[in-house]
Amino acid sequence: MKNFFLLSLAHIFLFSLAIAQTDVYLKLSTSERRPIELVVTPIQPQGKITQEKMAKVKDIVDILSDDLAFSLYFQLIESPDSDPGYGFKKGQVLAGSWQLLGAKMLLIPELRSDKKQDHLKVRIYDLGVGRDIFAKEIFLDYSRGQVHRICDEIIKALTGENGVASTRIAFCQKNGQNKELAVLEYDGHNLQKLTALNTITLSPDWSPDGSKLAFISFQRNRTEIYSLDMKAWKLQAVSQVEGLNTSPAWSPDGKKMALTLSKDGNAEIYLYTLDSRSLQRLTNSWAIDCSPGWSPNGRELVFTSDRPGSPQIYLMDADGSNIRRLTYQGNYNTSPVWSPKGDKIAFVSRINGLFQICAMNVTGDGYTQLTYEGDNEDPSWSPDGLHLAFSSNRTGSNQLWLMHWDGSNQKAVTNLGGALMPAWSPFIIP
Amino acid sequence: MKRTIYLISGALTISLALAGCAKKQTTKQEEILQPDVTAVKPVTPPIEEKKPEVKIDFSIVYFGFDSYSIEEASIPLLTEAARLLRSYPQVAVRLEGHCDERGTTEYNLALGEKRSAAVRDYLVNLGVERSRLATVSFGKEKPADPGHNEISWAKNRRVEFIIEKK
Repeated sequence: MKNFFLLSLAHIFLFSLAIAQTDVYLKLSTSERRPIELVVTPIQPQGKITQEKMAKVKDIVDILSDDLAFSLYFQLIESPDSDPGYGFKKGQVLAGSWQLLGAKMLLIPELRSDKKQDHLKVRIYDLGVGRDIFAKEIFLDYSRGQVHRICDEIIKALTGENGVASTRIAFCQKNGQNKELAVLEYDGHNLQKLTALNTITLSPDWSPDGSKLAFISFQRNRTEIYSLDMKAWKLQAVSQVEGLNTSPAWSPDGKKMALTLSKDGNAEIYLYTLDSRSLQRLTNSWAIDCSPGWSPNGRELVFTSDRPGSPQIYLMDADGSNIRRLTYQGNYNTSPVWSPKGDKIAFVSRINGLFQICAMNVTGDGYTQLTYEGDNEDPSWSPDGLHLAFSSNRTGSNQLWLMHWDGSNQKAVTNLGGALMPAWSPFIIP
Repeated sequence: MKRTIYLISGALTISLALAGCAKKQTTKQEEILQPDVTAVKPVTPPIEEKKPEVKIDFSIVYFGFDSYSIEEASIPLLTEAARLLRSYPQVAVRLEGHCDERGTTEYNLALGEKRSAAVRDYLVNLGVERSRLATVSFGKEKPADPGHNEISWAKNRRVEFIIEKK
């Protein structure tokens, strides 16, 4: 209880009281991070609250529980009783009854209501030390975004890491023959259409600050690369040279874009410097070179090349030197994406005639198949490197799916006419 | 064979073509082992008329899975296409490369480009000016056949000739 930090946040109605325990919880950010066993207790009504309101707030708390479970920082244990009085005595936590369940922490939602507002206080109570290690009270606006932000604040306060609950996923939504850009919350809610260009739109890629999306558009009946500024709401052409203009990949510093162009005869990878509009050719091969993906430090690029006679994953330094092959399994490995954590590369591999998401270490070993059903493609890492979005046709049409980095917990987040090419946004930091 | 052109039946096209030797065609067709061949038939030449507007049509060039090599079966129709282009110097074409639905989007865009470039380079070698041959790739975005089987896929791995200037 040494340090109390009053965090004043941008939102005028948000007040946060976070109790920092810098030494105790830092271990969570190491690679041996183990999820914390957490029980979300039934909502504790403060005063008289209607059943109807309790049910409405329960939906909000359920979103928070889903966010926390998905984060992988917590392992949620179900409360054995829906009675708000269970495990409490006169408002005090009876630690033993929760510890029996294997819980290390409690999330205690307290609901208070006055004439104007519903106030939700979210407490994280450490059963080991017997006190709150996080507390935050909000005026509920009943938006999902507000809940996602609380989840990310809890994760930040307890681990020092940024959470992904507030992130969004851009993707291509099928509309007849056309595909348009759209974006939704990471868990599939609040779909927002971004383009109505009445054409085929492909390969969205977020600028590192999350303000722009680069993408391929066929609006002039050929591949061209555009950038959509989502704040100024402006569309700008990036590359319209002869031949292919595909696979835009913003560099981690946001100053350059790796592209695939065929203007010099066949698909090669180029580095386009946005300010100076200068173009540097990185590959030089008779074969297809495409789909560049940056290492998180911006020093290397992973890409697809069919120079050995079939498409395989290669690495090169960001100046085009030191090209080396990473994959040798099978005769079709494409669409590599480097984990923001730096340790893994996810890609698509053709296995028994079907396309599957796989991952490997950046050294090329540790090949792991992550999907097994239907055709799966377009892997995109969450900004914390703990999850992957991808598209799968396993239910009959292409939909967006999420899974954890090890392939566990696969679930569809869309049920649209067709959704593909997810691009997971950078962290949304308030 | 040199002057034979194949047409997809059902297409609203007029062609300048001569039927080739039926027996030899069968041999060629077997080599492709692609369903498009069953839909293909030799067309007798229409009466050549001097018209200001030229209506010509080119055959579709098909490819194997993940391949951008010109197949032997395509050589007669490319030879004919080159002859047509040389005969009608005012014609420019856009070569649209396509892929079947298998495979990943970005790689297929590059593969479609490779296919259209392979056709372009073949025609350039036969004396057609490169400036009259534009290439464009649609990857797997515009299948000719919406099916999800080998017959449909074979129809979708293709380069189409789109006439741009007459």
